[in-house]
Amino acid sequence: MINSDKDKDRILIFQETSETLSSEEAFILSRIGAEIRLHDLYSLLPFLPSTTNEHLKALFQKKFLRWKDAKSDRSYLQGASKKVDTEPTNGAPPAPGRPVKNEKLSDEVLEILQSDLFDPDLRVIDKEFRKDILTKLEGIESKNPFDILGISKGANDDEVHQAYIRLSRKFHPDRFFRKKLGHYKRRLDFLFTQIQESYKNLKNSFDREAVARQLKVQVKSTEPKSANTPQRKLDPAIEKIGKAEHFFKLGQTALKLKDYSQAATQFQLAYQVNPTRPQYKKAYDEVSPFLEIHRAEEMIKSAEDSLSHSLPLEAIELAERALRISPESTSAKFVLARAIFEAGEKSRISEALDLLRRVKAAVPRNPDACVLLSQIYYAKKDPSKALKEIEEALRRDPNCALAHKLLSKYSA
Amino acid sequence: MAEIVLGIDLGTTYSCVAVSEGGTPRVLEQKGGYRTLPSVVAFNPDGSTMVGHIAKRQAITNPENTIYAAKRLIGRSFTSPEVTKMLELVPFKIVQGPNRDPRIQAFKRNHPIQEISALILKQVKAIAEETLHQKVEKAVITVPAYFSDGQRQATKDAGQIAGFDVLRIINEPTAAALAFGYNKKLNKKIAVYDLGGGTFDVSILDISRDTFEVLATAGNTFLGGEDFDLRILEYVVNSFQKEHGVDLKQDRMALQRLKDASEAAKCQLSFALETEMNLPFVMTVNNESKHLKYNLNRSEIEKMTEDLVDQTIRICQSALEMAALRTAEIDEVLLVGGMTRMPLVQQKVQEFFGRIPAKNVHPDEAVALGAALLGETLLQEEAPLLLLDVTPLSLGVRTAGGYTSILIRQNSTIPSSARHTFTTVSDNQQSVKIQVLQGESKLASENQLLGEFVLADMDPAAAGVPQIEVNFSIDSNGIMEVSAKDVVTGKEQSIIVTAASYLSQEEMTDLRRKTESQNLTDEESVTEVLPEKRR
Repeated sequence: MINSDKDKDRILIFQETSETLSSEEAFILSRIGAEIRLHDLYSLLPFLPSTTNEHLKALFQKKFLRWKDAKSDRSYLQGASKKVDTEPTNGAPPAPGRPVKNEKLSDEVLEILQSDLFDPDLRVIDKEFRKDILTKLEGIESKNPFDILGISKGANDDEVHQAYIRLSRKFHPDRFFRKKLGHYKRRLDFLFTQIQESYKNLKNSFDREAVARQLKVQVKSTEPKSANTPQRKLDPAIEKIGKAEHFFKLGQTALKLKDYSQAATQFQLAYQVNPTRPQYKKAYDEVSPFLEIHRAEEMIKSAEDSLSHSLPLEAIELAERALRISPESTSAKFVLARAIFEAGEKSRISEALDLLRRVKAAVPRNPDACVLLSQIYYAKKDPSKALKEIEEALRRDPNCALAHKLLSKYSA
Repeated sequence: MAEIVLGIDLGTTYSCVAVSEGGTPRVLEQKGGYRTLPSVVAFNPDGSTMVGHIAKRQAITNPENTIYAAKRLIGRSFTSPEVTKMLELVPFKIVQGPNRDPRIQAFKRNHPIQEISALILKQVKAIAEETLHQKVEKAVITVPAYFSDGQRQATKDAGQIAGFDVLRIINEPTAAALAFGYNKKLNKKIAVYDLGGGTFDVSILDISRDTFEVLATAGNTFLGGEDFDLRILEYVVNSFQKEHGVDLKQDRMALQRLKDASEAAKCQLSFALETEMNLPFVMTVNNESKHLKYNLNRSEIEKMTEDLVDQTIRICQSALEMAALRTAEIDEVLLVGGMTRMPLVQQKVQEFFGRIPAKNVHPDEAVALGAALLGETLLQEEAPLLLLDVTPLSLGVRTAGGYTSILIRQNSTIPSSARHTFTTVSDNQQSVKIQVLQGESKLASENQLLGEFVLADMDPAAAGVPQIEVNFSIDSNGIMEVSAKDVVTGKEQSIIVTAASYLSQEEMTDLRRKTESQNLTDEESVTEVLPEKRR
């Protein structure tokens, strides 16, 4: 009843009856679901094929299972229609006018036809005709002129001409002179241009032979490379996904090296190329605060540079900008205070003192803030406070050379 | 009431109008039984106009304001050699318009050529409406096959100014072939030799039942009956100068009379072997009237004009070469245009093609009849005929170094389209200028400039990054359309057309309003006024 070799591609269908089941039989049914290929079922079950067959036999007897008629199977039909499709390329021209049965429309064509329902103008154009335009246009860019005209490579002058006239009669834009074609106008014009081009390339017997020869060479040369070609012919959508992922990886590497700006750029690129994946955006959002801190640090560095080149006014501006980006940065505060002091901005000196006091509190081990404070107090002619700060600085770092120097100066 | 489409043969010297009902076309007659209308427009001092026979009759007394052969100027640039040649020959004044287009000055007002053609078309419309007793709005207008895009566009504009919905601009030889082969279930290759008042065309067609496929077309838009007339005129002027020592060309009225007489003599010599050219009181020199009286015979004018006919035969040769056919493969030769009545033309064509031209084609009316047929079929649900016409000239763009890069080759079946991707050459370039050319020369400067298109408002980007795909297409009228798209973003790119000899949109609506409000002076009423004027 069940021959595991012969029937492995046949499909089992579950149907409900009131019979009782053994636990194994119930397990098998749970795996079958709606319908399944026998072959697939074997791989899903922990039993040996022979045991499976036993149980299946029982299930057949209890009418829980039946074979699905292979002839009405969709996958079988698809195989058949494929055969029809490949026929013309093998050399036999499809008989003109005979509708190809089992015609399979691609999703894109179906989608366009579906959306046409909402355009009242398009209803005046025969649906079959619209379908013909769309199917004829599908993949036309990669088709050879023989396929476009629907003729064999051995066609003679008259056959080529007849095919051209037949297609022109059907697809010449003049045929719909009075009708609004909507988006079909563009398609029809393009299709007609393609038909003409094909005809132009084939109407002369010498040209026709040349084209046929070229096609033969192309087929031969692409055959061994066929493993590589599909990769090059990536769907642009898929290519985008890959590109985005590549950018994302680059960004992650940069992140490990703490190159935040590079990482941010890469993440942003990834997000732009493929906005559908939220993790790119998330990664960018995560890295962007670091980027800000990084920017602030860069500014502080350049502020210090400006100070060393005795350009305190620039330093003030840079430090202020750094502080705006990262308001908690102690080094920004310190640099700003120092810049104010060195610029001699008397009006802002109290601000500088305030900043330094905060730095002093925030970084208990660092003497720099204290040293600077004492310098400011000294400049404000408040030596007692200056002395106090110096002592504090020395307490924090007994080896601070500047503090020692200042101490001796103040004590004098 | 059934919708009616006029077929209009807008000729250089004569126009003809036909209508088709149930697949049978007929010419619409004017009052007085005329079947063709002279393509002549005359301006009156008060701004009113006269068109047709009446304008032609008064030409002698009013040469400065009587415009003829406007078709030889339409759609050309003022600086083109053809316009320069016209400047010397015609008694009316041609000035330069704002788009480098020629304009005609009459009573200190400048008229675009489209307006002149529109006035003729308006008269045609009036004739048709009167004969058919119904309003007519749709028309198919014919142009010489060798007309360029600009000339076709200008003709279409003229039709619109005249109040027509121009369904189609169709080539004259193609129309003639339609009139010849429609509904006859032929299976033939034919050659149409069309020598009209101002233009010459030859088209090779393949008719298989109801499919009319143009295989090749060639021509010269500045070679026609007018040039034959001029040869006779020059001859007479020279003889007169030898005899009397005066140049007739200095007297505009004499020149106009001589021009008419030359045309008449040419026509007569197509039937008779000898004719007399008699113009009494042609000129007054020192209070002494001079008379002109010459006998002309056929062999004389054949000698004068033989090179013109030979020129047409050479064009026929090149058309055959482009169609890749030998003369023996041509099954039928049609002769169209009034000039083909000339025995020399018939003889040379017969010699070249090796067969007697078809007799069942009316040289003056076939074109209009064919246009009417096409008009009727265009309106039908399932067109009973398929017309595959071609573009006569290659379409290209100017490339660096002043060369032409051809996008659509001559004799390509229309509608046709081609794409070309443009990019920028410098960083943050905001616009790209494209010069579109029509013609066969490799050098851009030798081809006709159709227009300059500017791709504007481009997003700033590095040089070479933007990719703008420009789609050039030639529609079934032989008129070019341009659209552009950004390849990366897929968005439509705006295009600005400059330096084309087209009329601006404002000017079009302006002219249209003007011709609508100003009812053409009726032929009859002018006839009553005219005798007074002559006095």
